[in-house]
Amino acid sequence: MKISNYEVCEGVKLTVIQTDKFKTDELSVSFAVPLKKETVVLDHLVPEVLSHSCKDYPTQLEFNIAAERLYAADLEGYASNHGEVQLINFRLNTINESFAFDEKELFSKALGLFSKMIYEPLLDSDGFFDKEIVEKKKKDLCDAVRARKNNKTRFASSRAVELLCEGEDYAASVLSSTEAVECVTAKDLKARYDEVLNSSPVYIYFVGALEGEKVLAKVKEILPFTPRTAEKLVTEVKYEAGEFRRITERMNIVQSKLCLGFRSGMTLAQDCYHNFVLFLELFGGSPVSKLFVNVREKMSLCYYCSPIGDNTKGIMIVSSGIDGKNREKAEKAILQQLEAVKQGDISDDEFESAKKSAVGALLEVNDDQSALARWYRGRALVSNKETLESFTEKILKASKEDVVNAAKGVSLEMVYFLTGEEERA
Amino acid sequence: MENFTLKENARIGEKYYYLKHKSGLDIYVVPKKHLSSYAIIGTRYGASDRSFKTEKDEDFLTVPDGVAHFLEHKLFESEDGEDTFARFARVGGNANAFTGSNQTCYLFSTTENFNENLEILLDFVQSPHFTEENVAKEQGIIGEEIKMYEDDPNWRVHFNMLEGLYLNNPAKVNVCGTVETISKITPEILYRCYNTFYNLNNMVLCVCGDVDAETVVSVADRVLKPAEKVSIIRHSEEEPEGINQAFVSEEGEVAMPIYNIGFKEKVLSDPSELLKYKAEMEILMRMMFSKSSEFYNDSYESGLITPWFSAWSNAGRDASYSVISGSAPNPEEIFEAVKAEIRKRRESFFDLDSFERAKRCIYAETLTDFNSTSSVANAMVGFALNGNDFFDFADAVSAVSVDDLKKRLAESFEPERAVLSVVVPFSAE
Repeated sequence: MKISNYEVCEGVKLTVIQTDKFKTDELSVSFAVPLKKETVVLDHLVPEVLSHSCKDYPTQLEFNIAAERLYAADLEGYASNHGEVQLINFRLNTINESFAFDEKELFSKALGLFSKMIYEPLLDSDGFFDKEIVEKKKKDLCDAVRARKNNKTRFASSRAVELLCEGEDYAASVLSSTEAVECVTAKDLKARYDEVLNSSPVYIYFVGALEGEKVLAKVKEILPFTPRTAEKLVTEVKYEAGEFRRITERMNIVQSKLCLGFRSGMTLAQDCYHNFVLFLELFGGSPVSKLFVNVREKMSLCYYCSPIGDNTKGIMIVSSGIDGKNREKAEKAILQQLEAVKQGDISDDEFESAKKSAVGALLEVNDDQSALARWYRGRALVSNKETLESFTEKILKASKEDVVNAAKGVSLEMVYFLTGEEERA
Repeated sequence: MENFTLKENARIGEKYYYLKHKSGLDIYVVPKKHLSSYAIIGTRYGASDRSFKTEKDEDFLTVPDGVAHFLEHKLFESEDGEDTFARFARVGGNANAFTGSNQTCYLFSTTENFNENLEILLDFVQSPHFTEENVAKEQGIIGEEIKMYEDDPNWRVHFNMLEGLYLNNPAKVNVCGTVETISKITPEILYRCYNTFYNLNNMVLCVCGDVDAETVVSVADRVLKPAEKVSIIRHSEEEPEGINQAFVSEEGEVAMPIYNIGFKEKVLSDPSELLKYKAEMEILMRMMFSKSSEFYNDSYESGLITPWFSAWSNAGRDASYSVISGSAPNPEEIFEAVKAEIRKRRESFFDLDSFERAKRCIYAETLTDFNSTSSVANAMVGFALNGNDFFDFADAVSAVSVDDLKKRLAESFEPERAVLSVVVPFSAE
């Protein structure tokens, strides 16, 4: 595996991870903008509209057929965020040409269609996006916002994030209202598109069999990037919990959801972030972690109980599905396990298992095309030059004290409880 | 390597080694130069195996729903009290398991100590330890798992559809069972199920990674206890050709209705027929309902369907059905439109271009499965448990002709054997 970094033009970075272990080639282009309540809806809609069709293939049917002809080239557009950096992503995945029956220059052709998707959208006579498509995508996004509650586990943890970060830009990462979507116009969207395309910093990742220089040449030839001044995007990190809050909400459900919201203050931007990764593993990341072994296996309180976090924002949510009557017991048990780590109550076995698990997970990133790009992109966004190898080394060298110190940085700010039960007297 | 059968597929650049191990176990090894290696062992035993005996048993045993899944959880318990996950973790393995209607599988992935991990996998599936106490403990955990699924409308709508399709076929059994049925599970029941189905002759192992086949077999030689071949007799009540109920509706905490449209299909037990069926259905489903189909695009443009739309077919040992699922305001209209589309395509079939494209897409998807050790091994075991070979799938797809598809379409998706299952938002109180 060989990693090469290039600058396509000012503000447009390309990283090529060359490896022949995959059957497919994958290229992703991410435009980075600040995550803001005012623009987040536009940033979600732009890639949706673009990946619907393009000028040369004006209907979704024609566009999808064109992609299928290239051995089912997978072309998609979607929004995601790392902390308070909003990404507008476009991804292309196509089989490596050596596996095609007849096609020559398969990657270049697929990249051509990919370029049309981003740069040659279907516009109306006013130069705006096609109104019908925009309305469709607005409706789909409203549906998705409303459908958030269909998946109770995800709803509860995203609701916890939204409440924990209320008043911060980060809260906008959870789309919870349809109002802002409904008032978007085709004109607003086109203006946002122009702004993003021409002035946002761009991160391009290629993972596949092609050589770095070749990928660079193809990107330069086919994708018409223009120079831009890359402003540094920052995420506001809180290192300590704010005033404690307890929030209970009701829904017509059988299983209650308990989510504990913490500030960890630990992010990818820090040199010691690996200690936090190890802490997460030990605390709740695997079937030998403290939460799994104690809260699930010993106390039989739940089927799942594990922490999720945003490694750019420095927050952690421990999420669990429990019987409503066990709320206090479960909350206490989770906090007890955290306290145990803080007190250094870690056996050698637990520590070594957590280390092995964390290292194994990192090595496995090497075997997953999309995960590889994501791993490096997350770090590039905070100007972290770490490699998978150097990060793995750091984990191997970490001590119990390092994990205890990482745990000590974690503080509880909020308990969110979603339940089907009536208010107790 | 004289004992191994080597099979190569030059088109996709992959090969595997196969060995019928002396213990009775089928072993497949797919070499792949990844940093992580993956192993999975599966048994032909799942939620559908409700009533059974071996040729040595006098009577059939009928078990409470959810036993196969319960057993999967409990097999991780060991006699010396050491948790199996912890054993794996000590040598760097990350273990997991899953249960379906016809199979239960145990797996691990690791980036080090492959042999030690494989040894643990093969050892723990041969070492059941069920006690009153550990059964009682699991009832709490699985009880929460069941409640989690009760709140999951996609799970509800799917099992309601199966209820609509089948009167007696155990394919409709909820994999986890219910809080009530799992309360009836005892160590004795678990042992009887275990002793019947966890016989190495009824199991398949697949390893994928930077591992050589001889090493795998040497671990197997060391750990596996030869199993006497048993024949398993499964009992199920006669299932009529027709369906149980054409419409099933339930209220749930959903934003807009979600639906499963199910077609009851003929069951094929012959492996080669099953493989052909899978290949044909995959092509048909793609031509009719994929994002590059006319149906999808017309229905999306008209607002009938939303992007939450998918179609797949399931072909198992004792049940076979096709599903169109999604979320949209008027599932009844979609039900009618789907049936109309089938009638239309029976009369005027697709053009050759969509046929060729569909085949090409399935080729690309099958190829992409080989990016990941877990995808390859899971597919290998899934196919092998049905008496098939995943490596034959791409060829089976390319062998399908337009006439095959026309014939298949005429026999499948029968409107008379269709069910609409919906979960709709709670009505305003």
